[in-house]
Amino acid sequence: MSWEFWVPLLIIFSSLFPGLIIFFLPETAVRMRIRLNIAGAVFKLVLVTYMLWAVSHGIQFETRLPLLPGLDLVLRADAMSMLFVTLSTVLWLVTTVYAIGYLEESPNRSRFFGYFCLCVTATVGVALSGNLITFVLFYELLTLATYPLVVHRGTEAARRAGNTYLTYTVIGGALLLLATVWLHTLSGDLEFTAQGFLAPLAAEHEAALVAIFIMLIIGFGVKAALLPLHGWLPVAMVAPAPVSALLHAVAVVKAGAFGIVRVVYEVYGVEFAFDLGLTMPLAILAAITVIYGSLRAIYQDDLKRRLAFSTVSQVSYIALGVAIAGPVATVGALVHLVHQGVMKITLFFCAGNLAETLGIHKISEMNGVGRRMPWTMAAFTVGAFGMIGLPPIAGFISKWYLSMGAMQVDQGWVVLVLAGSSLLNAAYFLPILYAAWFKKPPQSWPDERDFGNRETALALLLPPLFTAFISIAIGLLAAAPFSPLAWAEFIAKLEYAR
Amino acid sequence: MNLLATTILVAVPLLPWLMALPRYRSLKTAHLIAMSPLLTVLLLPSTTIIELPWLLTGVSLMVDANAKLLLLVLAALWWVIFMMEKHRPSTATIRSLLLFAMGASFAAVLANDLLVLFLMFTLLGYSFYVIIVCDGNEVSRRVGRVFLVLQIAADLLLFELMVMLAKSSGALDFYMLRETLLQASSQSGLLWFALLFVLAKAGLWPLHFWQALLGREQGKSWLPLVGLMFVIIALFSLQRMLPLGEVNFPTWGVVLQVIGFAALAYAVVVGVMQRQLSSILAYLQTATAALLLAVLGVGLAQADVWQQLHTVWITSLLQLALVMAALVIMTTASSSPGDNRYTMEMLGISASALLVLGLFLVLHSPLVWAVFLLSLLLGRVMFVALNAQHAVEPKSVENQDLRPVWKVLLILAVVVWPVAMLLSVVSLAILFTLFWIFAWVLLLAVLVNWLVKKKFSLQLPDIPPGDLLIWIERICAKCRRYLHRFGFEQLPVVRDKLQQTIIRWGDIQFHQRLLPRAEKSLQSWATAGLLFVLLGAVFVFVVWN
Repeated sequence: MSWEFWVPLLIIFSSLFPGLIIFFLPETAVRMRIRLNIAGAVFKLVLVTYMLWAVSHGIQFETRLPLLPGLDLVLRADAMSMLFVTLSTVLWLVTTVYAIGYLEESPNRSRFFGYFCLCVTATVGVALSGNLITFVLFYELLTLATYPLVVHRGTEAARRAGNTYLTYTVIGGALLLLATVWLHTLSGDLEFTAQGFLAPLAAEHEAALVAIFIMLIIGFGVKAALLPLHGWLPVAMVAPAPVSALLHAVAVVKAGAFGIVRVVYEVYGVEFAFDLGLTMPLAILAAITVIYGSLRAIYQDDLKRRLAFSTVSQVSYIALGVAIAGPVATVGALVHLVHQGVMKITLFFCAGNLAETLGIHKISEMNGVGRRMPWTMAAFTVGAFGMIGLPPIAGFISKWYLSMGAMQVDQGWVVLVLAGSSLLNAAYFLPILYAAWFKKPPQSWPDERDFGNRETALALLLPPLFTAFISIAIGLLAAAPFSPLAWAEFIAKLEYAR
Repeated sequence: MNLLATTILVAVPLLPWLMALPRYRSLKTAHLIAMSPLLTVLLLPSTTIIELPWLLTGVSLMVDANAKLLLLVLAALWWVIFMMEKHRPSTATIRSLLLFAMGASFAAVLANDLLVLFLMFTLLGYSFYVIIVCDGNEVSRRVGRVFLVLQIAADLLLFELMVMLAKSSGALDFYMLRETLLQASSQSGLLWFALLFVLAKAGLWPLHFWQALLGREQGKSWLPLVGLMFVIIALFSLQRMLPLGEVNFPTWGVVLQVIGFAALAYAVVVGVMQRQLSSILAYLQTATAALLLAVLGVGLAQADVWQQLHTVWITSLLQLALVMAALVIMTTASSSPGDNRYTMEMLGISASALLVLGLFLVLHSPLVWAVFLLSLLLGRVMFVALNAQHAVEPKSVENQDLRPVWKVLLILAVVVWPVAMLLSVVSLAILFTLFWIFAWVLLLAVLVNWLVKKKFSLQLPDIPPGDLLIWIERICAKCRRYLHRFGFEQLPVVRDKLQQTIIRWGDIQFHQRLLPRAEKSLQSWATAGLLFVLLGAVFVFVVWN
């Protein structure tokens, strides 16, 4: 077995092993837990960086293990998987640092970090899956690994949120499994292939393929929070901030969106899906979700709920870009997968800082908080401006390519949806910034903690500053080699090679 | 050379941004250091274009003779702003923001494509929003809100313009935009977006509300000058976007002229009714910008005329900046109690600037009537500045110092302008003719008013434009009374009803109560739907196989 066989497995194990060890560590073994977490994250990052370089030079990485007769567990590093695996690896490292600071004095940390590592293992597995069955396996593992994180606080609200989350995702998962089995009976092979592998079956099984597509989209749509399957996401906001960051930017929501990308491009093939008439309804559903999410966000006073509805809206950009089916729109959709993740994690880190340092949970409590926590709010401002789509922050790049892509395939209405969404984004983000920077601060904060001269703990402050910096950097250096934009263009070229 | 030019042009915005950092902003000469790359820009060859890698298409910056001049004038404006800022207890944040806005304004002038223009105008807009709102009162916040809404609208319009242009031409530079506009099929959408973008971004009529309110901020008397930069950069950009002097676009030329002339007439009429200097200045700026917009319309309608007007247009744009700077300084000086040392000097500068402006346009006689209208506003500025009592009761006051200035203006009005008007018999558009008649009537009215006041005596009055303005003001006062009655008796009823409806629909608490219920119901239905789909899928799968 060659080195190329082991690298994907090592990437999976780099978070699985630390996670399994952490489960058995006592609560007092703080240093050991931190070392394991950081070592695992750094080791994974090194491996992924090497793999990224190697894939760009044409080296193939594949791990194939027999799962059942006729079904293999396949881990493969292709251009598309590298986009997602790099995002989740980089953000995992940052989130780990943040979570260490966030949960410094809270109970059940071994349990938390154990599941945290499992969650990232599942996400990386989803990213590296080489066929649909491997994808579904890791996708279900992700559901099970995130449930304990959602209910981590153990409160009644957390348990209720966990139940809602589980209800949605388990039903969605069952539908996904059924669709996968059905597809297997029709096609046999389920390997992801650039431009899809189902077109030859069209003549014989067209109706079945349409039904399976709908089932797959519903299955992935639950995690991607497509309307009306988004109900679990705002409820899950009771989880600690690192979990929210994980749900929204790194793992769950992104796994759903990534699933939609895989199905449209590498199971059906975008042209075949278009010929079956499946892409337009998906585009319309995504567009409705974009507007609905933004409208709902406006009416939220709870900061994390507002951010949650913002995610509902923003993640649907990816589905929208995929569904309008054109090379440039594909670039926009794929690049938004990364850019939205980086910007949204910044916003959640900042929301966590406000809650942890000053006890602020509501927007109505944020008056003048920019003066008390200038660095945190500066990072929040960058994230919010990025979400609105202001250049040169990353959000502008994705909106630009989505709009261009829409015009390329003569879908001008999508540009209007994007413009409307930008307006609504401004309507729900700018009042927060105004309150934070220009309104007078209150006499006292709801629940202030003392961090000496610093506005908050360094472990809480550095991650949002780093991700805010990344949000600007990937916007400014969009044309650089290995930038998300350059990589997305590389993928689009492969998907539209014909 | 290319590397050197790239370094110089990139340094133009970068150095001000660097100086905006907390470490450097407190330096007394921070703004001068920030402006220093402009000196090297002057040494570059007349037209220099550099390419920078951004996005997948790349972006470019360009400097030509016009851009160099404009950069110098903008630098002068920023210098004035920093000088005025020095006299108030300034905050470090404001200084940083000003330096940041300065860098963005320079880069917006250097933009050779819509992407850079979009980026820099956005940065300029948001930094200016913070400048307006920071340490401000309720008026500032109101101005800020209006400004922000218009900026977002303008950004969206430019974004749409960029998307449409990218689709039709694959590039975003001004040259490609002009080439695309020359193709009949894609003109109208692009032109509308370009025009609306400029109107919204620069706060030109009818979207001029925030410009008129800027001067009311007591602490920051230089705010109108930053607002002026939006006008200048937006008009300059529009001039670079339009295919002027190449092909005749009669329809679009008339559209621009209609907007320009309507704005000019509105600004002059409303401007002369104002009693606050800052407000009159804002309307003067709106009127002049409208005139420049109308001239662009003339150039668009008749390519050969633009060849003659091009230099005058650029010069007038620069003069607008300088005249407004002089007038803002004058207003600030005259509003400082007991400090009128250089009011007269500033009046002199303003009058000279007006004359220069007038002479330039007289040489190109078709636009002379507009200068006449603008001079009414300038006359009003001087009148209000010199007559403190005017706010109480409008009346003519003798002023020995001003007598020579008025005489020169009067001679110009009586001799030069009518001659120039006669020369402009060949009108460029029907609107010109209408305004030409209007200008004649106005001029006759001045003369009649004069003769009546002076009992047909040939002796020159002390302040003839002052008398004229009083005469206009009385007519306006009557109109105001009618408007007042309409506004206070009939409008409130309609407004209250509308307000109640908006409040009911916009009530966040109402939606906060209602929407969670809807969301919860949606959740239940979605879960049930999911289960139903799952069961249905199982059934179909079993039957199928």
